[in-house]
Amino acid sequence: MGKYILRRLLGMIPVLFIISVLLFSLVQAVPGDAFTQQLNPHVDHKYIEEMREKFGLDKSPIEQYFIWLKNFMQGEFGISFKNKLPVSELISDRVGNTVFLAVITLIITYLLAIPIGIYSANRPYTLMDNTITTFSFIGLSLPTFFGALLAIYIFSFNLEWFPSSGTMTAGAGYTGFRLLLDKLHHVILPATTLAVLSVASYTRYIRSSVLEAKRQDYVRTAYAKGLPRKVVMRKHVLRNALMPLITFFGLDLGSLFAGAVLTETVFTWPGLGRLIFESTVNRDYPVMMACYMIIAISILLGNLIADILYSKADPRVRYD
Amino acid sequence: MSHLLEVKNLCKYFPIKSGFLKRTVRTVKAVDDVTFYVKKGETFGLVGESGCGKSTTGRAILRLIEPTSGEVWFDGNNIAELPKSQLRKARRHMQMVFQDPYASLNPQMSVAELIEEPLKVHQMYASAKERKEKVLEIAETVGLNRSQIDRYPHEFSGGQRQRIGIARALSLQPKLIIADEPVSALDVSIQSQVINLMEDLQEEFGLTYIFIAHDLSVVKHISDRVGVMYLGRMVEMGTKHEIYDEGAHPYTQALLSAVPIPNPKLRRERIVLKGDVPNPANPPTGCAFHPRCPKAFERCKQERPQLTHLGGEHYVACHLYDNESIGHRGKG
Repeated sequence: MGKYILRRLLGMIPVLFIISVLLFSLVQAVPGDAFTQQLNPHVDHKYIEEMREKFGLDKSPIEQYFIWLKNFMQGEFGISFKNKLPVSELISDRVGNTVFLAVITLIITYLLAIPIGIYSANRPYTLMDNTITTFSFIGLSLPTFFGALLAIYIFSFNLEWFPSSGTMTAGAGYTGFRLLLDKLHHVILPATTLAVLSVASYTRYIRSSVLEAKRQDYVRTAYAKGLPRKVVMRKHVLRNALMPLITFFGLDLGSLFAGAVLTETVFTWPGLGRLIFESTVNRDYPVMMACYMIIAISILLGNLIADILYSKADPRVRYD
Repeated sequence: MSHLLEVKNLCKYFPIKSGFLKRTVRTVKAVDDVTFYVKKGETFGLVGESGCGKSTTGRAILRLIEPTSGEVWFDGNNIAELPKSQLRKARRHMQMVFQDPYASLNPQMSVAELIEEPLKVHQMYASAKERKEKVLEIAETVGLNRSQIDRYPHEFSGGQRQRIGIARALSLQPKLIIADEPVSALDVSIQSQVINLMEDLQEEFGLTYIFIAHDLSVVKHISDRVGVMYLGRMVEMGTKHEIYDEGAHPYTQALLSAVPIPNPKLRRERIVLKGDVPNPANPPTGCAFHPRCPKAFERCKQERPQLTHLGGEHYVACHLYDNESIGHRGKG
């Protein structure tokens, strides 16, 4: 197992290299740079040239890439063009918020999707099942930003149940448990908005997975043994049907750090998603590259974790 | 000898639903008015071609699918009418071995867990230790050794898996085992091993079998009595000797003539049936076999034949043999 993990980790190096080249090319392909956009047109051209020189933008793209690569491998993400702050500082300020939002979203997703999916599968083609299916499709086809705006309109403006922005009440100075409650109060609206989309797809998936498991021969065998329905469901149907969720879970782990660009922006949630949005608007290359690389690494690691968990859970899957 | 199992007028109809309102437009009569009995300690073979309702009959007896109507008397109870809670307990005494040894074992459970599970549910043994000991014993009875018991189904061959399936069924010490094509998914050499194992176990534990198969030679080998099914109906029933040597129904005769014989020099007349098995959703009137029957006459198209006693334990559902037709036969 140790060998397998090592092999997978080593395999990530070339993948990351290719991803970084692609990302760097894409970022460079956009015409102009941070300074053409940002600075006052009346500012002296010489000053802009000086700034470009200072941040190394006067060099050829290939040269720039290798400078970036060398720094990146040394754990040096560079300085943001816009804030003139180290990128690592910007990211570490935001990453906690993003992970908090993502974890709450995941919890809401699983708590809703698994019971709804199983309920649906146990009563296929009934009125209730069809209703759930209909709502799943509505959830799937609703754009996130629209859902977010709708949620803010209903639950913040009209009902005033939840705040529409921020991660905590500014200036309240809460500590300890009170602070946690305050944070939860702020996270529920964006997290639920994000969860609606994944609940919809998870529900569909779990429903079909459970339905398929129920048709299996070994389920009939279990009934023939004289097992009660509950035991058949738990030990034979669900144990097999929910196995593929591990793969989903791994992908979700990867997206923990990716942030939700649109949702974070609509809710002015200071996370990585919004950082990506802001840095893209400002052509802030060092920030963009660092964020994209973090996403790439976390998705690769999430996949690896899913594969490891799968081999632990399913006796048919073994890695040596 | 008493009858361990008596099946009376068993029917299983599957509705075909269609249209927006899901109205039942037709029904498939998978099992239609089937009556037979099984004696304690014997093997009753059930034969017929694919789709004739043999498997459905087996499953309807155990109520793995709900029968539409009819009675199933087992051990003094009408299984068809038992409430669910009692049905579950009754299943202890009647177990099933399934056709596909690959799909019928839960891939997530080790062999030990698979065999132990029913023992746990039915609380057969007082202590876990006693139960585990029993699991080992059963596994050894079917020829698995102790070191293999913690492995998972995918690590075994088809024949071994079928032994696991048999061990599982056996662990509850049932009175009746319904074996639904237990060897048809196996290689011929493995088939005989499994058949021999089943025979040994029958002798050792006094088991009663219903053996469902389409392989007539296998059924001949293992059965004491045989029932022949066609299109959801029992067309003939009798001892092995009565069926194989004195088969009365034209369908039985045709089936038997199709069994390959080992001697290539021996010539015999094969009865080749015309056409295909009719659609069970739209079965022929009268005797279901009449469109393919070489001996059919007018009455077969109109009237459905009932099982007639031919003497001994031999019953046949054919107008050639019931009293009203004897005159016709004389003329023909």
